[in-house]
Amino acid sequence: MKRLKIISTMLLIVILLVPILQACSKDSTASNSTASNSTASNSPGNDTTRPVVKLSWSTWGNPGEVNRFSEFTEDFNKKHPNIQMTFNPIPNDNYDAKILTELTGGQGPDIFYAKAQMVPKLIDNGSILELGPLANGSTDFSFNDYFEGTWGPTLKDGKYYGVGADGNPPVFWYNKKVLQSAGITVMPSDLFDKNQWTWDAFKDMTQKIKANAAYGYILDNTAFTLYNWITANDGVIFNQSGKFVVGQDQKAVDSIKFLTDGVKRGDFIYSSALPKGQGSDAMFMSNKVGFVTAGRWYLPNFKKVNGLEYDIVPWPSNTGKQWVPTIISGSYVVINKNSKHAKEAFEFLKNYVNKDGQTFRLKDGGNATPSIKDLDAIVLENNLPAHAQYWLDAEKNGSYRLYDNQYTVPGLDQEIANYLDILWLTKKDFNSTLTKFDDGINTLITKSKQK
Amino acid sequence: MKWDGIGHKKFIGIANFSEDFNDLLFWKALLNTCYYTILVVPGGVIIALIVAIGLNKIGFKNFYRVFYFMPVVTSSVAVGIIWMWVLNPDFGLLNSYLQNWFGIKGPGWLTDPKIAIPAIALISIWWGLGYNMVIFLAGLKSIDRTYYEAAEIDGASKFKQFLNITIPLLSPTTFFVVIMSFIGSFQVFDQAFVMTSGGPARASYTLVYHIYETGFVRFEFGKSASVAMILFVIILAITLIQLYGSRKWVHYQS
Repeated sequence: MKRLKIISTMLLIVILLVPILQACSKDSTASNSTASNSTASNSPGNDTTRPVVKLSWSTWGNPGEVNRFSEFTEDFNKKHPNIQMTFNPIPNDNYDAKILTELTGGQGPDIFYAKAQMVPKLIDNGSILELGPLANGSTDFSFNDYFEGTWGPTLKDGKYYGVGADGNPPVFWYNKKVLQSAGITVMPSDLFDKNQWTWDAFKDMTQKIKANAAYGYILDNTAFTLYNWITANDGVIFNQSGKFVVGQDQKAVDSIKFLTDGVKRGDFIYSSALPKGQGSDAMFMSNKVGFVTAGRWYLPNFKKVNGLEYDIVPWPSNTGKQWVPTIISGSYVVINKNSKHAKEAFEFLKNYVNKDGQTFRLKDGGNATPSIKDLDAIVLENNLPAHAQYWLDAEKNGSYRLYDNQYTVPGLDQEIANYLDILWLTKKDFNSTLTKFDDGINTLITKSKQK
Repeated sequence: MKWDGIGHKKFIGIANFSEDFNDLLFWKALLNTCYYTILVVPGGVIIALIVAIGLNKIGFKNFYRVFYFMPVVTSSVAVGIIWMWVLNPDFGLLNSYLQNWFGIKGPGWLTDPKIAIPAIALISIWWGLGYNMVIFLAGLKSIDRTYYEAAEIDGASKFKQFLNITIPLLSPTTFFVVIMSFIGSFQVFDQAFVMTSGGPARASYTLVYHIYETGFVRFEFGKSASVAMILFVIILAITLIQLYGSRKWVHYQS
């Protein structure tokens, strides 16, 4: 009986310990990569005499994007027998928090995507590697091959801490079926080519769509969308001394008024008024909305939907100019400073962002436009969509990268989204809300600078 | 402590606490949490008591017990996602029924800043009902039958028996349920995180959500920890006050 008790107790301890030990371990992380990199080589992945090095990398993505990233990883592993790379996708929702937790716990991936807002913090903390020393002597990698605007916050004091994975000029995606069934015969891209793609034309279309029992336009609750609408009217967001002035600059106020009126009329649906999980892409694919705004990242999903007829058009203008400046969102591939195999990690990074890598990721309707020069052809492949040329033209026609404040003030995007919620979900007074909007954001900026 | 999660840690005394009390977001979160607690604790306790009394009298007790207890053992994320669909303003079950049966256009339950907290409170009451109900059932079982028999001989009505026997003798159980409900409601996070992300317009921004956002969105881990300490003190204070007050209204059989 006593023996039985001892055996049962031991069994119980083992059962309890197994999941605990499993929870504490993780394959292929920066902290427990397996092989040593003591034997240096210029192309560490192809030397069959070297032991296999296990590495991991992470980014976010929609199902279409994640699929492409997995294919790329498989292809890389085939071509580099000495490196076994594992791709661990992380949901986009709260990506920063998740990656930060992994880094803090010493379990961060060797290579990962960092959003622009996070890069300065990672550089200041010494969490990511400077790429210059790793690229030194490399014959197949040069920082000069990339567009100047690609670097954003990763270029600090002449040192490179990451590479722009790709670019993504924002455009209006329009659902042709929804537009046609609302009686719209001249498509937005045709109007754009005639320099008639104006706010009035856009408003007119959304009203027709609304009258035909669909949503005209899903207005995102993001800082980027707000900025684009303001710059499409020649408005000012941050003044020369870095103050947030959307409630003071008349053109910015007019832009916000235009959007507010659209939401009030019901032609535009504000995305926070949609339940969480009912995203604009899902609404677009089910033919429930005429216009949504996004970069090329919607393409991998849209192209798979049978019968979905779509095209793109640049941001509508209220300035008389055909092209208005819009913000290009970018994300950056960086290397974890705690990676025990920096050379192999750089080998992956290099292959990920070089011409072959970007071609592999972005061909056949990939999720972005290239950050490396001379790859325009892959954006135009197969006419996906018909006016894909707009993406290439966007960068040359006044698009801009993020504001400095956007990089350096943690929580700025959330705070802006919160004020947009107040503007477009509550019945609070328009002018006083704009004043509070300016004050709230400037307080946050001041606090952040004091720290 | 001043710490952004990765870099150097710096001791800054009580600066985080004083900053918390000057932070409008902290007060907004506290207010929302109190509003949620006011809805959930009385609502949850009363409904659980009614259901427990009902179940105490009918057959198939075990079946109903399992039926009501099932949400308690369901993960908060699953519960949140199911309710997001039920409450969807365009094609959710609830609004469809409201439209079809009563001709009422239902609101955006989780997207209207005025309704978000009541909607989340309603879900929380449903979610925690089984747990409170099972405890109340156990409390009801522990009341000695002789009290009821004596009252019946004296000619007391059922309602009077409930008022003068059940309620007082159930008070230790009620006390436990109230304390646990208070603690649980001050720690509300999952529902707001899964269903509304603290929105819209920070309408469902609760204290624990504030702890999360301060730490993992604003990267101010020291400040985040200080809010967690304040939350601990609030819960401790409320529990002690209730413990003190309980001397007057909690009655034990022996």
